[in-house]
Amino acid sequence: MSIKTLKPAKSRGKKSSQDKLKIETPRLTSVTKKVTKPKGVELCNPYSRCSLYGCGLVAAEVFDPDFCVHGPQGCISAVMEAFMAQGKELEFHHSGMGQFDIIYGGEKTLLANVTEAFSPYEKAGPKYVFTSCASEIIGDDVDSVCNHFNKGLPLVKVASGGVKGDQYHGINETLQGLMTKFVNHSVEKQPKMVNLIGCIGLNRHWRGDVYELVRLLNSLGVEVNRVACDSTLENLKIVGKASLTIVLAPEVGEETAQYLEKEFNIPYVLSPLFLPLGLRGVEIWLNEVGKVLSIPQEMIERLVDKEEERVRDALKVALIHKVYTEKLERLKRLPVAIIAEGSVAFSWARFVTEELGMKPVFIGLRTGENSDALLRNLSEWQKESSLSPIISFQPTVEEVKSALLETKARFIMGSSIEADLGAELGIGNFLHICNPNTHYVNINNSPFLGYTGLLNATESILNTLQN
Amino acid sequence: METQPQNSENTENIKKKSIWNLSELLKWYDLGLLPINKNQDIEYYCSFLGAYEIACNFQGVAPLVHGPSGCIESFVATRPYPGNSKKFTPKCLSTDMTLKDIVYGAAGKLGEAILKTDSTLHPNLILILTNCCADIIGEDVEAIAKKVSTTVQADILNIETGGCSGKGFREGADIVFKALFDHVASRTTLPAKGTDPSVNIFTKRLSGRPAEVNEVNELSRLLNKGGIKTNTVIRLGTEYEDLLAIPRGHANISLCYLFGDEPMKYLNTLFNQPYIATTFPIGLKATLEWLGKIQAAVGMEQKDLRDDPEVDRYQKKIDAARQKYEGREAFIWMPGEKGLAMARFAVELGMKPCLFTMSYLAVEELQETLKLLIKDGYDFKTILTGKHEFLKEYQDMDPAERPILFMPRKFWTGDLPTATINCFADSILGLKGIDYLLDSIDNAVKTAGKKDYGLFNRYVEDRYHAKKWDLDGPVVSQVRN
Repeated sequence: MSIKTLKPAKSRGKKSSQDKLKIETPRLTSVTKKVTKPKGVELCNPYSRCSLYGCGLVAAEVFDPDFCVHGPQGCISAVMEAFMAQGKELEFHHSGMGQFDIIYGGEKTLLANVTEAFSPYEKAGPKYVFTSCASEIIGDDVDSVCNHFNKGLPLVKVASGGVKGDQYHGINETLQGLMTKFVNHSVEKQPKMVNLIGCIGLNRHWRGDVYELVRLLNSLGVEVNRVACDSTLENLKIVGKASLTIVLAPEVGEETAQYLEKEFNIPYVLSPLFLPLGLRGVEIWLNEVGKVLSIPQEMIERLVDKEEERVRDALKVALIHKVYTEKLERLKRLPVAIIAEGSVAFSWARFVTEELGMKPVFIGLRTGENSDALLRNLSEWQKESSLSPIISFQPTVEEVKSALLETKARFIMGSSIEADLGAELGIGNFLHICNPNTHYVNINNSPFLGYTGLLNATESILNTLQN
Repeated sequence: METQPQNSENTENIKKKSIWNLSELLKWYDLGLLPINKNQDIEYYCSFLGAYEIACNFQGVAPLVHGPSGCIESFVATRPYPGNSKKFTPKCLSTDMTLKDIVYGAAGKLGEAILKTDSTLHPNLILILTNCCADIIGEDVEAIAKKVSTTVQADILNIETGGCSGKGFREGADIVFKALFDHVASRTTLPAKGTDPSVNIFTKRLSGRPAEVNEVNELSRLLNKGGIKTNTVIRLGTEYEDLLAIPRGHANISLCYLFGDEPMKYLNTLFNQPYIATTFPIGLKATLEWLGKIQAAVGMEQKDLRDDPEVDRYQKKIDAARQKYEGREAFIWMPGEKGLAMARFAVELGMKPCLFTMSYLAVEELQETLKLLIKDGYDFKTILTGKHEFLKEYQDMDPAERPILFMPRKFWTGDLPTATINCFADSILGLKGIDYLLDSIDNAVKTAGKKDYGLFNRYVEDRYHAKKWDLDGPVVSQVRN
């Protein structure tokens, strides 16, 4: 089986780098059973979070932050959940808007609140001001309030609020706010330095993924600046030094990468196969990065060979073990359902098909309905694999449940929502690959991406297999 | 009036510490002297979330939120807990308002959502809650509900609960209870009460805690011991039919007085049911008083349980603990009514409690409970500011003699013996709860001054990284720095 490698990603405009590629590829082909969503109001979408949740996911990742939500008290719950999901302690304020503020405007309340927080401000990280539905609807001029404050203070204003969008909107807006405020323009470019924007808060392995990819890039002599991953303000200030921005998933950070390209002339890459997951996924990702940074191909090949050898060596160790053999046998053509963000779901579908021999029967894509790159990848993958799973964009929980029943899936990869569905339907094999997460604690930063992640992912899949 | 700290020689501390008795705080509250800032106080959290927590409790009641979905998805009421007695997870139903809906209104969406909720979930009752967006743009929810009401099977109630109303979560919860009780009244006729006295138990606003099942079982057991049956329990997973059964109970009791006060009063008005003005039964004395008050409320002669072998056994345990801890200071770092009830238990052990989690607004919110306690002679000392400095004053004392700190998780980095009591997960009510509490206190004293190897007993806060920002000019322009 082969999957065509698309050209290196390098964009100039607002659209995704891959969307720009002028390769004539079919849209979803007839083999795909694309589920058309019924029209009408959706009552229940537990995949969606408030924009403020996304803001919190990013805010939590820059050391010693503080935030103030300009809205009623309850709005902080979304940001608090994000800090908990990221495993970070939080410090917060809110303007506590009430009816008076709704009628007469809440700018004075906000000014008083932020002034108090800054008198003095003793945190080492940014102070975020997030707007909410209420302050956005009544049109409070939060920018003018923020303009009162000394420019030397790390104040970052982010337009958020549930009516403005979901968690991805919040993530991207906050990243954008950080870049606008902190990135230093007068820095010298470093030819072998990159900014890496991980899948911030999309799953419980994302931080481990970033560290694993840093390890691989360091092996190629590339210095990596982690953006919003255990970062400090220093990480943000030096963003302009980088010669490349690496985005792992288009849902998180592509808009920021486009901003950096426009303002700082830093190109960016997004791998054609999206996540560096599995042998092929990592190899293609490394090649993409290598091309832009002019890293000798032989150097990349050496790293790939060395790491692949490590992976294959680890995988062969237990081959004679009965349990291992039985599990591998069980894995073959095992019907699997994958539900995640568009790029994430595709990456896992490709990996489990091509590298583990499983058989995706249902792919639920929570994002990416309008992404040409995703549609093209799916189409290519279907052609190459001769599989025709049900593919559903933005499925509801009920639709996922129906698809699980219809396809007789025996393994589920998804979030805690699908874990619950699996328990309800008696499908015991489950791998948690995306949030929300209401089942697992996350203490070790173990990755699923990169070569170490490949071993972790494979081990997790095999160990979860039941009779 | 105790206006000065104990260590009056330290002028620095004089500025930082304020220690008062509850009666003093109440008096100042009555005089309007407490600088309460409701909007900034966590005790005055969102009215929508308070309402939504209650609305989510019932099977057969579909809470439909007219507003953006973000308000409910990050919310704890939508999470299943291991202690959830019915393994019930509420559905997150919303009209998912967007910017377009803000501009053009979402009446059609709401009507459609009501129809869909009815046809797909078949609830007995659809409870429409509004959040900030719907309230601000002035959606006429009542008109929409009325329009579709003839075409749906379920009854419909609509309540304005937007967080920006500034009512606070407790009032939000009360509003939903009131609407539900009115609905119960409209659906039932006042039944003839049975001869066996029975009560309705209301748990807590945030129901489904891991400890809740054990605690309800324990209290039902004790009620049964006192000759009282449990008519229904209002908690996460309660079925619609059990909600309608409320009028059949002889009286209402709530684990948390503050939570239950308004709903109980309203039930008294509707169904002539007495209610018990008392807080959490923590400790032997409080548990027996709790049972006695319930017996009185349902018209029973109070059965003296002091001769009960089980009670006798616990009395001996309390006496033994009192021998050990008489005169010892107890620092209660537990919020709300649980903290007050714990302080009362400390008194039962002969200890001298001091509350560490009172705030100005807490005085207002907890005032009825405070009055009850003060009436019974519990005028606790409470420290409002300078807590850490206060704790540091005990560093030179022998570890085994230091005050005992009661807190859910040991985040204090000093070395006071700490009884870690997490009301979310640890069952501490009734007689069986006494075992857990005494064990925790004994363990705290036993390990005082020793390195704590328990992985989850203690964590270190890393939030304080005082950084000085060198600024050229004032912090805020046009505002004096």
